[in-house]
Amino acid sequence: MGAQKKPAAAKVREDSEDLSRQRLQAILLADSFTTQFRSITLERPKVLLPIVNIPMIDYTLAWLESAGIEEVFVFCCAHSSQIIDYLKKSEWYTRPNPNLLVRTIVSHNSTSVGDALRYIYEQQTETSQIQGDFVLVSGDTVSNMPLADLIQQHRDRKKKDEKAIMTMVFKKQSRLGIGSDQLFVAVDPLTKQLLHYEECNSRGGDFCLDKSLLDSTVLCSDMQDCYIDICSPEVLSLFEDNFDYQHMRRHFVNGLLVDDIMGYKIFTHEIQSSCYAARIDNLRSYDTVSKDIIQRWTYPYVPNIDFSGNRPVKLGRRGIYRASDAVQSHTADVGASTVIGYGTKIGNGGKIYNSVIGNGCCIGSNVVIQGSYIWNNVTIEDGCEIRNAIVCDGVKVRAGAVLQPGVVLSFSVVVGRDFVVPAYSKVSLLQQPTTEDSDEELEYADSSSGTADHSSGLNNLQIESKASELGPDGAGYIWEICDSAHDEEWKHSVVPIPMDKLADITGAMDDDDIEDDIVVPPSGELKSDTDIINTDANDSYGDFEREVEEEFLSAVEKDNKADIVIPLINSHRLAYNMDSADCAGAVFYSMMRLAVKSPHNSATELYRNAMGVITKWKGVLGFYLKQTDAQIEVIMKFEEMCQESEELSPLFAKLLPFLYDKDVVQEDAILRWGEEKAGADDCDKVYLNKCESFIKWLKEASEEEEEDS
Amino acid sequence: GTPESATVPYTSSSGADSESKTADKSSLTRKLKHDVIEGVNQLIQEIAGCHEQIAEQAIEHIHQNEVILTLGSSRTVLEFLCAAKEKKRSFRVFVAEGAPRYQGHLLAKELVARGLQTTVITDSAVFAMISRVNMVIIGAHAVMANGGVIGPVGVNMAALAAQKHAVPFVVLAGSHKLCPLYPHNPEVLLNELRSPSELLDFGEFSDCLDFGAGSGSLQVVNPTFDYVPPNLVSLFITDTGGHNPSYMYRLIADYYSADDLVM
Repeated sequence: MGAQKKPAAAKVREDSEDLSRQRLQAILLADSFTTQFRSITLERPKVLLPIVNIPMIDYTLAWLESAGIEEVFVFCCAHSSQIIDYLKKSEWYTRPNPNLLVRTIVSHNSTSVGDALRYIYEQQTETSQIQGDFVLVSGDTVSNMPLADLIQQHRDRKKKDEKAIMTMVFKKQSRLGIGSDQLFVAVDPLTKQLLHYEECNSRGGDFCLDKSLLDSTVLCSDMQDCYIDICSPEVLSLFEDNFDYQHMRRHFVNGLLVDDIMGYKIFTHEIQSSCYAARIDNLRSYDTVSKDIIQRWTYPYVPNIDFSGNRPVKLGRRGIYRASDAVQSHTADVGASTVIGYGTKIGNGGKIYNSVIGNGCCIGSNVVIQGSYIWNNVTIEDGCEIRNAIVCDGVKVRAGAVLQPGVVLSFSVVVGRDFVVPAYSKVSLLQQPTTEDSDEELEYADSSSGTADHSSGLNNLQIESKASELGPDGAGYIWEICDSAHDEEWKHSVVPIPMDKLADITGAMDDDDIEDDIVVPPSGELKSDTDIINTDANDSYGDFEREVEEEFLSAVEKDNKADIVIPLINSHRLAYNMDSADCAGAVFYSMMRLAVKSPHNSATELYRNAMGVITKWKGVLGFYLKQTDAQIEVIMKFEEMCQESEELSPLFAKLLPFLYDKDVVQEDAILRWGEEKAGADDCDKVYLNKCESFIKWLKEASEEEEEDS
Repeated sequence: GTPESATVPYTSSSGADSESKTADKSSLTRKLKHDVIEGVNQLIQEIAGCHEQIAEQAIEHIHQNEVILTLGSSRTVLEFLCAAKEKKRSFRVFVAEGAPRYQGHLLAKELVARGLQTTVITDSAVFAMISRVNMVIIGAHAVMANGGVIGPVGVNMAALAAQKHAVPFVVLAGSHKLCPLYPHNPEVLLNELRSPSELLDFGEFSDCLDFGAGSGSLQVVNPTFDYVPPNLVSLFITDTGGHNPSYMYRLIADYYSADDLVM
């Protein structure tokens, strides 16, 4: 049994115009340039880390092979020798598939995807070069989606439109995307062109959209980027030209989207729900992808099928994968969805649930292993408890030790007897790289030069077997979690999310679930003249207010007349594109501020000040208050001010009639304001209640007028 | 058919007489190659021709105004039914859809295109409809040495329904589908469990599937095959004719060399 191979016919779609058949090529980046698995990846490259006992790179290569790719360039940077050794010994070289050629490209000083692509571009020779469109994936991708159609679609699109140089694959996010940033994507529903791409670090963040996008766009916040791209050769040359493009998405994609001159376009493809694609970029996704593989969503890349020279384990009842020579005591309880590797022995009374145990492990009696990932050749002695932890090759856990949730034990660590490893700690035989190394600050610096030192340092390392941080007979260092990352630890770990945090997040998610056909900014009307619609329009209003106030104050000082002040304020109004209601509000605000600022000793004096200011400047105010809407705006502004300022609040009830007397606000405005407020909550109605008697009087007065006339 | 050739024993060549030895070796190799190629070609011919030979026997088994039930989609069954139609028998076909891959839908379309009156039913309706059916005809994925059948998932249910209502259960299988293993052999009955995405959308049940500590977990099992024991099968129609299930072990000797079998 092997991976399903695409029939040869699907691969050979000859372009009648091309003279030579283009090979389907792929670039596999075997270095993620991030440091999420730092404690483990100091010693071994991330793509060789096993997921469900099979190295990640095998899943990716098997998938590419079945998708009909004919040539894969494996780009190695960190730990490149380990990757090359592994590939040489693996099935990809020893029993090579004649249809698939795996080549390695080694670089020693690349620190990002951009560097990698530039290096590949420069390293092209006559025999090995990127001809035509290629698939760009990362070495930690697990997928079973068919690529042949997608590549053909991309090629057809490119033929019609020269500028369509990249197709990105997205997946509808099914589960809460904890641990990864939320993604906002704007896609044209007809052509599937990508129009906007933004990662937001915080939930409920605001972002700016170009107004020209609003014609027909679908804005999605629930898409997940699979980091599988079909690229045209122009992508490589673009990276070569722009040597500051480092990150694929942040720089390259956003750069293309913003660039109007060249006009390159990026298209999207949403993966069908029957296919699976995921990338293992942090510990949480390691956990979810492991579980998906065990539940066979990634069929045919599942543990009981030999898809890349791995030894298949038999699938028994209840989703338990057990190797044929695994020895298990009859009193041991192995629960559902567990994988037991070759040569593993499980002692009496063990309880193993929802975990993956690797090859050659020796598990003692009465051990509890739950939700954990134990790799190869691990010795766990009697009475240990391991919950939601990752234990790497060669670790020895001495009797009675407890690993609390979230612990990551790196290679060959020894946990002492009866030692309790605190939650979320990362333990390694190597010391934590110091933060003095400036490369550490860049998240994508894998410090490939540093790892060369470490690998040699490992040989010379003196393992302190006494009085180490892990108990009397332990060995290893517990890495410190830096303060900023502490709160985020629960996000990036294999521990199931605590219920309270889950409730928070689902609550927040319901709120900002946006998927509209046309996005309407939440604040204010659509300004026809602006190019950029700020979803937070309050900032500019604040600026406007301040300018008006300054203007007003200078007018007060110089004791100008109304007709001099009004044009000045108008100029500000035009600059900020405000309407008269806003102006009125700003002017009123300035006036009241003036009143408050003028010296007063008591409320009555303040009242008199306010009266004085209003009387003096009612001409200016009146100019903007021709419409009822503007007047209501002023009343509401006043309300706001009273809410903010203790002094002003008692004045509200008195000043409103005063404003009415001075014909600043008409009764229509007051009555409408009263009506609107009537439906509001009690806390908003405070001022309404204060003016109740006045409003009643107004109503009666208006009725009398009607009766008279 | 010819039994598969056993490997030709080789004598390792020594230094002297190497020329004559290599000449021998090369003629032996050539003969071996020739035999193997011939054998494979014969197999290919058999496989290509089995549908026709089985379909020839259709007229003996399907009579006028009968109702036939089938499950899933099998090319042998399609040819079989069409051959009976050609010979002017009029009959109706019930096709059970064969969830979750719904290949019965494809078969139904094909049958209608060839002019047969077809009804599509769900797998769960098989027991309800079986009383109206005269004969159940299915194709097999493999036939075991004891006469048991490995077929698409759901055929066991159809066989049980047929037995309950005394409806003949006929299995069409080319002789290349014969397998020398017995069901008690552990590899045989291990079913291939496919991806749950054929049943459920990946997103739908994600909260059940994310098992946290202590909460229940949802498991989705999507088997591809079903095993039908020989006592439920009335008749096997192969390209060599119709056989009893208890006779199938005899055919193994024809198709498999005794050297390759462990009985």
